[in-house]
Amino acid sequence: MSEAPLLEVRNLSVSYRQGKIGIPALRDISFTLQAGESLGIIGESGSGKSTLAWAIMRYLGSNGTVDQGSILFRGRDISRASDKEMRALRGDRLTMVYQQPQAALNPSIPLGKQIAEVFTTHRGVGEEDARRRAVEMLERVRINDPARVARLYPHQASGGMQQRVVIAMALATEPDLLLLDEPTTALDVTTQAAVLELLEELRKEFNTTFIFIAHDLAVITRIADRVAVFYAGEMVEHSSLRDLFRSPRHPYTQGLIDCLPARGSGQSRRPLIPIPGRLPSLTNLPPACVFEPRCPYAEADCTVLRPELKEEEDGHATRCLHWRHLVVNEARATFRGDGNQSATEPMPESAAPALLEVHGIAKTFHQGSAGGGLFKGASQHNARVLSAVNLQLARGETIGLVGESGSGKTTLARCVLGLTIADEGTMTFGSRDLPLRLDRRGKDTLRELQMVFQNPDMSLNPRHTIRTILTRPIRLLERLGKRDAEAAARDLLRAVNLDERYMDRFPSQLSGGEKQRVAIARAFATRTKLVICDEPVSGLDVSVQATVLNLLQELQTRWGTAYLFISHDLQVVQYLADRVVVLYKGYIVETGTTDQVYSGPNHPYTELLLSSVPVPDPDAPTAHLALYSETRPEVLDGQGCPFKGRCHRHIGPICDQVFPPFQIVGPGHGVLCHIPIAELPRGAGLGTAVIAGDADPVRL
Amino acid sequence: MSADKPATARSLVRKARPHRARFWLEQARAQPLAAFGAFLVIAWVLIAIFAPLIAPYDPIKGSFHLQDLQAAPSRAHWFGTDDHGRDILSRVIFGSRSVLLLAGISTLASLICGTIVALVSGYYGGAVDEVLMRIADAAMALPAVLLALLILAMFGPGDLGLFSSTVIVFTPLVARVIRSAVLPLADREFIAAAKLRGERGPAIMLRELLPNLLGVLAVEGSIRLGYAIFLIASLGFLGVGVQPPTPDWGVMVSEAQTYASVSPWMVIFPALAISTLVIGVNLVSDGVKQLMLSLEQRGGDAPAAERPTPEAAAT
Repeated sequence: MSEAPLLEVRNLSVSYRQGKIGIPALRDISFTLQAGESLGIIGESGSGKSTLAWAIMRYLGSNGTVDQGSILFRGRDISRASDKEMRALRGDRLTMVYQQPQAALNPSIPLGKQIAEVFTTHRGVGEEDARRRAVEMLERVRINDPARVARLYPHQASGGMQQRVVIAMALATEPDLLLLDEPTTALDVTTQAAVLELLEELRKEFNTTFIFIAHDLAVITRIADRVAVFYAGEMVEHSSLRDLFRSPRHPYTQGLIDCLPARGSGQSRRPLIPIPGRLPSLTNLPPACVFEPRCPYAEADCTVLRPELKEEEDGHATRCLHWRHLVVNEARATFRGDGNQSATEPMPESAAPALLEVHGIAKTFHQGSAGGGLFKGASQHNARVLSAVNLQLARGETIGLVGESGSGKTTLARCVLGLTIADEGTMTFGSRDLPLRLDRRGKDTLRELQMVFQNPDMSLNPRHTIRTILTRPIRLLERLGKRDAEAAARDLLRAVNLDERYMDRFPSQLSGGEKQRVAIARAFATRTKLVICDEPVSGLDVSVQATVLNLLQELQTRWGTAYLFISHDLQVVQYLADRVVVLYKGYIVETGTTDQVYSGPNHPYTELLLSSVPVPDPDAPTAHLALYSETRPEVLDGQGCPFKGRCHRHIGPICDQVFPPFQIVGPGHGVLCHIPIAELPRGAGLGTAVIAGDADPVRL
Repeated sequence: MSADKPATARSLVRKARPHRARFWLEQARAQPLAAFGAFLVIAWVLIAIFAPLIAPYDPIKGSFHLQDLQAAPSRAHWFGTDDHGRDILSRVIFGSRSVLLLAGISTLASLICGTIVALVSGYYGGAVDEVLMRIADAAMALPAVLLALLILAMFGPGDLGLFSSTVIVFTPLVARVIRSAVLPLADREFIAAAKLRGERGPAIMLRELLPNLLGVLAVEGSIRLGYAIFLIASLGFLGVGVQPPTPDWGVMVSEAQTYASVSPWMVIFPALAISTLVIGVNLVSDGVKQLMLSLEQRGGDAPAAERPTPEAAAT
């Protein structure tokens, strides 16, 4: 402790100029970071967490200025250092990994050369030597066959591989401080888990100090020693990771933890507790406590007295006047503890009349002919996205459809909707045949089958008012008159907890969560029996996510609508779904009730998915499957099991040559695998670390 | 379909009106060049409308007095006279009518035709798109003036010929630009949502796609207007456009070229008229482009709509 801290930020305030007004993006931030420590920064979008990273890197842009305070790096104030000095530090002692690896890599330079450049610029080594070191770096980030990968261009590598290359570049100079700005947000669950595992290992190997910025508490649990929670440009809480999870003190942090679907077996169906209201506008901040307008415990003095970030003897700092009196802690703990409450609704019987039946739906995309026009190219590349998928969905039931990107889940949804025309297969909906083509479907079918898309910015026409958006389907499909349709639209707005005044607004005047609620209202505008939800909350901030999930739950109870819920977030699926279908490369590899799938035994792929979900609990045991699977090459020769290449439980040549049977594990629970059912549980379950204890499986 | 339209329009106007004047004033201050361009264009439009009131002489009737032929600019004839003794100022003033009217109408017509082609092509895609775009490519392969001459040869010189040739020359150009704006829109999910509620193709094109194209159309329209003025003047110069004795700037320049060295005013003033109008239109079009860009960045639709907080812009 006698040494000066590696990084010391003192009373830092940063603002952006916009026209004549200054927008205070960060106010009075102070913290110190010792060498080798790792700090997690949590906050929603607009909380100022990225601004902090840019301020440290001095990348604030032309309209951003440090108004006050200092950033001491090894005792030297870098907020006032010369540009020349900064250039020497950046990319050498101070490095950064960004959210989008595609944006951080130059698309026209091979990966190896991009890493080699770090050595030639910062270390002044020769070309040959730099190239050799680049390959070494690739190996250190667990890339198989690094010499080959070094010659690849960014577009030839997968997203996870690209991000690992970016991390290799950032670590190449063995920097003192590595800033990670949401490095896994744009990645798939399994890839995210792999990158997190890798970072955890690299931190030990390189002994680098990390600042890890994320919007999701669960992501940083395995990496951070300490956590700082940001809200509206202020640090509202700062403590050790364990303290923060055990006893969050600031109401905002408590809210952040409470709005996540709880983990545990079975559906608890406990309503999520969203944080009411929204982030205040930075130009019009509350005068005293910034969280006061949304705080459930706010008292009279909260609007007058400005709370300071006060550090207690235990090293836990909170910016709240009343945290001592928030006795909710204990109550909250008991409330969260009862996750195992039996499901509140009777499980839909498989004997119940099916609402939707899908038989043998298959889809192959033909690539290589742009637009599929007149002149079809001779060299076509065919991608089989769905292979003979069967699915049954009962009335009022929710099926969670999970899988990585590219697993075919969105294509399956679009085939059911008729937006994509399946190549083969049949479907029935209600008691009718469901034609594959949308234009062959009658009004009754259209009315009963609707969709909520992922991104409301894309799914709501920016030029239409909410009134038009909601009344149009009612008038077209329900054939109501103008007056009745408007009354119905107003009812819908109320049903999704939006004010009637929103009728005349345009989507751009609504927040992200409000827009998604309008999109949900539109899906329910007609007498809908099945709503297909394609990742409806993945674009939203966590606190808003809870509101939307609760709303979906509420509407289902009210109208008995069935959901086909697509998500990569297994916790969300566990919260909502009655049954789960796991897709891999267009094959259903496992189906079962939520309980069955979440308690196992599982297909190895499901096991991988489940082990990849970041757990917001620092002491939870983990199985290190993701990095293993991520570093194995995918084998797509059309023979044997589709998952054989990445499988950690590969049992021999049978997997490579014979297509696996669909084995029945229990009533309604099946698995597409060669491993005998009796042996499946060996690796199943979340708690058992399968191969983590063995010799490093990654280097196999 | 039209029943709920008034509601949309009304709500738009209600919000926009109180701020509209201030909004344009702010824009003018932010873009002085565009404001100057707008001044030039508005001036020419006013001149065209009030031509009979402003023009000091009859633009067609000449004079047989020798001193009136090719007279240099003087107090009586500010811009001088031509070889028929006609007042050039009056002819320039009246000449603005044919060029503005023809260019305006044919630009509007080519915008409409081009947008229809673009919507059909971009929305349906596939073979329809392929066929339409290859036809457009073929039309664009020929130089504009050459193609216009070919068409004029079919229709014969005159207003109808000029109109049709401008429309035929510009439609593929407009279609190309608008199509590229339609393509990303057609992939947006609000189109899928419209299909899911059983909207037909034409309804999707008009109700869902077209309103999102207004910005691009404004930019494209202002660019095309500049080119149309130029094309019509060029055709007039070549003698296949507006027919004498109707005053037309292109024709005036062309007739005067033989006298350019003796009476330069005969060339200078109509040429100046063409260039001020074209420059004005181009400056306005740059301004419109800039305006659309800034509106897009601010994520707004209507100029004065209430806007969300600026955090997004700050990050």
